Amino acid sequence: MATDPISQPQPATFAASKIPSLLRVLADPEGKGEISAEGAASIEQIETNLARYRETSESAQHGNDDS
Amino acid sequence: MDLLAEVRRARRELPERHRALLDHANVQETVVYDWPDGVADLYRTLGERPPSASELKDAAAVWLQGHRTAAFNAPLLQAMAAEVDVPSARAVIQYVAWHEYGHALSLTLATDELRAEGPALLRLLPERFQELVAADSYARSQVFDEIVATVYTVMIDRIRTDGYGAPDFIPPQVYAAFQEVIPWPPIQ
Repeated sequence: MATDPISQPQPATFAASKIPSLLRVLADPEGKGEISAEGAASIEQIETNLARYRETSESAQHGNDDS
Repeated sequence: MDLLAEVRRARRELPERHRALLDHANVQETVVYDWPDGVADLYRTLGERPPSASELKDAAAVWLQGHRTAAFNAPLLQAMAAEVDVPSARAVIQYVAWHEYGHALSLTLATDELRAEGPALLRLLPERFQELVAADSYARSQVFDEIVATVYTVMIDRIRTDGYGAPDFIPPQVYAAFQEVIPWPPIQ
């Protein structure tokens, strides 16, 4: 039996930090290490973009906090 | 890139039977451009508690139970797609959308009894799948829906290359639980 009742739904979020892992699993679901160079480069770019987005949004948040 | 059009394209690419279930459950989608304030307002209009500010900040999408709506984080998705070729950017948005539709199907169709099996099923999954589900971020009762959403994304993506067969890398118990929730193969 579940410890927390379904009748009290909790917010369900899909964290962006999971996206690179999702892309790796989709590119190589069997985990054989068979991701193409092109696919790996694309995933790396997306990771970079997410890190940049996180930095920018944190800076903006700090800016708002300071004002 | 028109994000809402891309999300809806992803929905159109789902098997007809699944689209019918989503339609029947009145599942909708929206793209929120003033994230996080806009999505927090959506929760408040329903009288629902929004996720924490830190959860919202890192969320690519959220599920609004009261609206039966998947809300997608436009600033994040746009930033994520920068300097990525259009087919790859489209594919990522498609995967996020499929995950949310799988989540919506599970929330609509799974029983509490199945949800109670979530943590045990999680332990059966290969490690990379366990990491992907990131169960630590969820309540025990949410783990099952996250497993279904994750497996659903993989299964939909595999249709193009492998059809509807059971993959070797999904343990039989997890696949059976998935099939209890999601009509699979969807042509049955």
